Amino acid sequence: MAERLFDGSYLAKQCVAKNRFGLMKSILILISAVALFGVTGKLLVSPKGQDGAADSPVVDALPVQTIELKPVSSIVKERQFTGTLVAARRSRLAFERSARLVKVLVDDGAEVTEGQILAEIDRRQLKAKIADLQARIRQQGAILKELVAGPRAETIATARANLAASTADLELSKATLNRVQDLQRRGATSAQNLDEVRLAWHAAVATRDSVAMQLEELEAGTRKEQIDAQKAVVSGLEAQLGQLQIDDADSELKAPFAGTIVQRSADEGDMLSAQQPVFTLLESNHMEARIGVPSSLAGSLDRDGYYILSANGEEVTGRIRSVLSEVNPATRTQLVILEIDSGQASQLQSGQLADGQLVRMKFDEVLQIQGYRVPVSALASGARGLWTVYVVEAAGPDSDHKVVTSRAVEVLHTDGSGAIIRGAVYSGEHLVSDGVHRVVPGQVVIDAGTADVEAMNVGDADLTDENADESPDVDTPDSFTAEKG
Amino acid sequence: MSTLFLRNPRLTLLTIGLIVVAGLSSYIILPRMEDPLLTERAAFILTALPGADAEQVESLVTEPIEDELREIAEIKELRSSSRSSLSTITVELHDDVYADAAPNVWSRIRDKIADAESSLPQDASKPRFERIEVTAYTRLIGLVWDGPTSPADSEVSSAQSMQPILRRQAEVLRELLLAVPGTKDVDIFGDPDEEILVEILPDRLAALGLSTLDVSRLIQASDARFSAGQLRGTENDLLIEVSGELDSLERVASIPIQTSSDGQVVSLGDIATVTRGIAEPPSELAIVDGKPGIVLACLIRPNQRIDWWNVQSEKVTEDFSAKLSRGIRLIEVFSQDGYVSERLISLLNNLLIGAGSVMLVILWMMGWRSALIVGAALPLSAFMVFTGMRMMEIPIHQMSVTGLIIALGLLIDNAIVVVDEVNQKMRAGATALEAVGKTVRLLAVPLFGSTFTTALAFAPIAVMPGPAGEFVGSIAVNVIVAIFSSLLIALTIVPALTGFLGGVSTSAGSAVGVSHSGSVAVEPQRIWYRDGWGNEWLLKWYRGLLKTITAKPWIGILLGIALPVAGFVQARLLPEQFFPPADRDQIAVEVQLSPQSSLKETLLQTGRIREELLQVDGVTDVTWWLGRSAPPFYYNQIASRRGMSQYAQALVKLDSGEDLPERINSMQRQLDLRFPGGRLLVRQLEQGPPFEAPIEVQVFGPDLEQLRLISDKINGVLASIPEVTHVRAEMSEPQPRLRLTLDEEETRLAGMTHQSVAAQMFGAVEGAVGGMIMEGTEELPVRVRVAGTRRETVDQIESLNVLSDAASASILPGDRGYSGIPLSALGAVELMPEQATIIRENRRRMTEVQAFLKAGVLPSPVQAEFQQRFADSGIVLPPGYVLKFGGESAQRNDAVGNLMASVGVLAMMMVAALVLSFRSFRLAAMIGLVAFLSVGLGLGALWAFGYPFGFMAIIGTMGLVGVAINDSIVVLAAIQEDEAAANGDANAICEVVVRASRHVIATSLTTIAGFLPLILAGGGFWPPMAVTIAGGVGGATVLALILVPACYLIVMKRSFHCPVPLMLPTSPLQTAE
Repeated sequence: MAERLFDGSYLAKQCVAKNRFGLMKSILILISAVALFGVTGKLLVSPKGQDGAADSPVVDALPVQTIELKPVSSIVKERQFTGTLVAARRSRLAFERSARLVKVLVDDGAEVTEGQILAEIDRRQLKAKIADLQARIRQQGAILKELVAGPRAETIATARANLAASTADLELSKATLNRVQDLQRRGATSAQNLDEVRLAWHAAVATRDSVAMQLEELEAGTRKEQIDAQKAVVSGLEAQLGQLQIDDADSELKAPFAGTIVQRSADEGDMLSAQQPVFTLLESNHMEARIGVPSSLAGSLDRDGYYILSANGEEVTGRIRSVLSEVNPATRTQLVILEIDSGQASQLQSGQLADGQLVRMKFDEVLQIQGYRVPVSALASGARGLWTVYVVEAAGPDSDHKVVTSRAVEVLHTDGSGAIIRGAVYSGEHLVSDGVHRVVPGQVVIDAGTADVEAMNVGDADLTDENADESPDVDTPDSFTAEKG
Repeated sequence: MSTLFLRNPRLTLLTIGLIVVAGLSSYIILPRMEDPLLTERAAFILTALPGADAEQVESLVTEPIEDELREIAEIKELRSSSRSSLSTITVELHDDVYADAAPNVWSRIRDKIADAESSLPQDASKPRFERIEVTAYTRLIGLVWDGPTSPADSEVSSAQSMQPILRRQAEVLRELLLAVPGTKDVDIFGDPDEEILVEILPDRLAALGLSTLDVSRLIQASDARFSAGQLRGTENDLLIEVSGELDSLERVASIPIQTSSDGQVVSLGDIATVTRGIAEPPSELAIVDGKPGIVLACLIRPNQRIDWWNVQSEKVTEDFSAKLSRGIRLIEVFSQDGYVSERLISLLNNLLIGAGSVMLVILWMMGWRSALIVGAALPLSAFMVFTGMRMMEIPIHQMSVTGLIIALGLLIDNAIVVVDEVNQKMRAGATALEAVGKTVRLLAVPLFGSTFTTALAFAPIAVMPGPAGEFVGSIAVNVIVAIFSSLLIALTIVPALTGFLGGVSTSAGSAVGVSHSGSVAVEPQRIWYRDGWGNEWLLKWYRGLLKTITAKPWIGILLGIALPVAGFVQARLLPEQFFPPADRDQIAVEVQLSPQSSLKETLLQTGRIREELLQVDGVTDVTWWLGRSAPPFYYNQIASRRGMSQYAQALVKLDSGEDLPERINSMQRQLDLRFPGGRLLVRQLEQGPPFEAPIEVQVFGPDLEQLRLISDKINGVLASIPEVTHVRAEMSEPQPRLRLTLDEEETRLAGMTHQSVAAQMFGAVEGAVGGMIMEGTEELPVRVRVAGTRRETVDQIESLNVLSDAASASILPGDRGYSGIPLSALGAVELMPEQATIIRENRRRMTEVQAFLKAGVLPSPVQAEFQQRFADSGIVLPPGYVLKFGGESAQRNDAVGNLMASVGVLAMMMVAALVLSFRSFRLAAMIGLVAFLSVGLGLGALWAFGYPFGFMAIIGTMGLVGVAINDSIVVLAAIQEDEAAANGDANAICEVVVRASRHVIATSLTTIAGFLPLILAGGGFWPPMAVTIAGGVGGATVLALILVPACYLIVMKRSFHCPVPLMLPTSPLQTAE
């Protein structure tokens, strides 16, 4: 039966012996068998394959993505400010006198040329006034002519005849007087008679003088002053007429310059008061942009310089005409006025640029900064609010290992995806560019971004390239001027 | 009474029928799941305080809430993380809060949070309380846009534009799935927030003197949704309504924004474009099959059979899928059902194989008749366990089935003893009735005693609190139920059956042990299949060995303790592993990019990682969740991250679960090489309670700067360990932030304040919501904000215009000035490092450094390595700073602590049971010694098979103690029963032991056979426990047969010559033979 179990085995033979020696031996064998069992069990069943290749720290080093530091000397910051587009001329056209509007020839939005008649007001009253005035001028002119022409010959002849008659009367009175005096002396007459006759003589003398004066006056003609006055009357009237004629002409509203009617505020039949605007006319081929720029930047703008403006998706250039030296208290900006070049007349005329439209001025502010540009993802926060970056460098002077060391830096400027840093970093060093949250200073790493690219397969190159495409420094190469060396 | 079943065959038959029917029906309706349900013991409290930095959030929000919560005694851990604008508090309840008590505690916590609300700042949001689900989703169903994409767009962005369509479809499907009976909930992942977006050109708005806030208010105001009263006529009452609720984009676009005195109206459409779409950028995305999609995650009720539910829900999705319009595809991302059935089928197979091997062993040892009867006890006990499970509401999952498998080897023992005893009595000439009656009376108490001690050994596992206890507890419950069922059956049905069958038994001794007085009498030829296998030579040899031992007991003692001592010695070398990894064909990949990364960037990178992963051999599918954790697809995953645009998690499906560690390591390596910009973690699913990282080093201390320095140093030490793949220290992670520094004087002169500038900026950049549009049942908010292209760079932000508070009132339409104030006139934008997150645990500030390990590497040696290196590095913590370990080791300590919590009392009960039944402290001490040595055997077996020492091994050890002493009890009881042997007669002892051997070896072999399938099935979870018990029980046989007699001779020497009272009626397990 023994053979059934341990067929012919050495063990069986040993065990069959019942002496103590055999027993001890079998105990030893039992123990060693158990030990053997344990060892083989361990070898056979070992569930974990921990005894793999010896893990050297380099093999296990974490790959990191790096960039090479290159200094930059200046950066460009894009600034945008908003203002309004304003027509250079904007007129509110009105009639000068109050009258009824009779004719409106153009409507809102009409393009008008210079001198085009836009509207008319009622001029009948004006016409009547003119007629009246013209009559009066004629009347006074006649008077003037009359004055200038002087007394008629018949009047002088009459006066002369009157003089002759008066002279004759005088002589008669004198003769009478002489006679009466004689008589007096003769006493032939009464004293009273004498007085009567003497007074009659005096009267005759006066009459004759008067008539003689009249004749003399008539013979001298009209007075100059009188003519002057009459002339003044006439020219006064003529001036009034001229005024009315201007008014008449002003009854037609004409466009002072080429432009667009933006508002029509009265219609036919409206009774306009004096200076009440009828149209608003905008000059359409001359515009200016009025843009508020913070004073800190306004100073750096180039007077007379050209800037790009965008309005309604259109880009036009504008030249700075002036920068007002006054800060608007409401917006804390200084007003910059830019003339839109008339060279862009096509846009102006097509109406794409309109008065009151918002316009943005874009310009690049160049800041002088000495530093290095890094992606924001390369920044780790450091002690006390400082920043640190991680530089990958050789672990020792002749070590193949690369380790991460931390450097304190200061962020000078950022644009959201990239930052300009300054501090304990040097040109040409390799900086961990992304994934700084997973490395710690002193950690052994593999520089996946540069040195080990060839160690990886082809796809890696794609990856790093694509990543580079997204990294902002390549994306906007022109915004950063690299300084070699 | 004791022969009731024998006398009444109908009763026996009916009882068997009852057990079978109850068991089968229970088996059919018992819910099936992969893993046990764990009580929800954790919750988040999220509170936002916009604009506050970490320290403000800590003192203004976190502390008041923590203060209130302090009063709740059931809280085990309060961990808070205060970061800018957001406070997250994680509350974890004590392990001894069970599922029935938890709701009450949570409601008290809610009350406390409500109390705390009053002490929060006004700007703070209402604290949001969210329980953390610890259940894995049952099904994950993805909907993706698969249709034509317009050539202009990239595939991804065009698919994204289809998201609203997908979302509506997902809502429909969700309703359908919710209608499936047994569905608990359906959550939608990756669904974008649909909204009406009003994108405003900011200059035009400023020219109107309006801010985005004003516009949103105007929109809100024109959204008439109110009743305007009722017309109450004499006959009719009619509701009056102001028409004009927002119902279309056109309606929104036509809202007047400003009117001028000349009747001109600016409508919203004039200054803005109104579009319907998804909130941009979305807060989370799901990428299914490489395309943006929506994932529906179904959760079933715990009392459901997952396979039945799955059939119904699959029918729903199939019908839905068939009706889907072209271009939308339904993809099954994950279904637990397959895993559950696979797991359960393999375990049930193990059960069957185990049962088969047990039967074979019995056949070999005891012959076919006994095998048949004992074999009948197996299914009957199993059926009773199923019935018990149904009554105790234990579903069928891998733990409860394992309990059955463990019980396999144990529940036979009682039946073996009874069958043997009955047979023996009947061979001795007793009638069946007598034999059965006597046997039952004789064995009832001792069998109960041994069953009781075994149950006591398993009891600490059953009553263990906490998630680990809930996880493995049902193993022990099932074992206990099983052995008591087997006791019941062994005392009722088994003797009856033996009685029925025994009538045809031959008169020949059925076993070697039957032959009395040690004479190897000439007996009829043994037939092994009838009487069990025997070997004369082996017997002789064995007798010789026993003789030597009884003559020189020290040899026996040496022999006996050699193996256990070796086991204890080797145990020092055992690596520790709390819970082993799961061997699923799924792994999780986590990605964490730089903290400032946008979701767009994350989308781009995860897309590439997916490509990379798909090229790896064996990877079949990759599903991403961006901006948040993946929906839990394994029971111990916790979706703890959300709203983090730099974070993504993937569910990676593999073709098989083999060689996982190697594959994971090579994937990890490859991904590290290819994606150096992010922290990529390829993680194997692990068993046991969840933890974030296997190694977590925590330092507590008051000063943030100091903590950061220390955490940097620890970080460095951890990173230098080769087995560590990645380290993470949230405190050291930079979070750059743009800060707009306003010139206060300028700002004030412009008629503004910091607040109004911030509010206007927020409105411009983030937008303001006003009004809702109803589309069917969908409610879409209307968001007003600045056009996207105007808020993408710092320069553009600086070029934004704000409106002076006074300006909006003073501006008249037609005024020709532009009143917007460029931000650059008021201040400048600079980049600032943000105050790191402040983490507090139980109200103390702390920093935590997490280390992730290569797959297959055990955390405990690495942790020891860290401790070594940390000590070597000479880093000294300043006074007041304390270092602790979290991660696996903390979880292990918790679990072991919970396990050991009740061990003391139960051990005392065991001691009491032993002492009382043996009426001797010395004998009880001997059993104690055996128990102790068997632990060494178990550890030795663990070492020999190369498994780490972990939680399952501890559980195995506890069970082992209960099983291993049974053999010794049998032997000791047999010795005590025999008067000569009890008095130290070496020969008598020898004979007694020889007689007991077959029985002892039979029970041990059946136990080992029962565990064999678990050992052979492999993996990391079951074998440690199975090896411990099987190896320990195997060795305990040697202890019982060699050490116990030897010990007895030495220990009891003093009592040998006084008459020993016969202990027949009370001695436990009085001889089986």
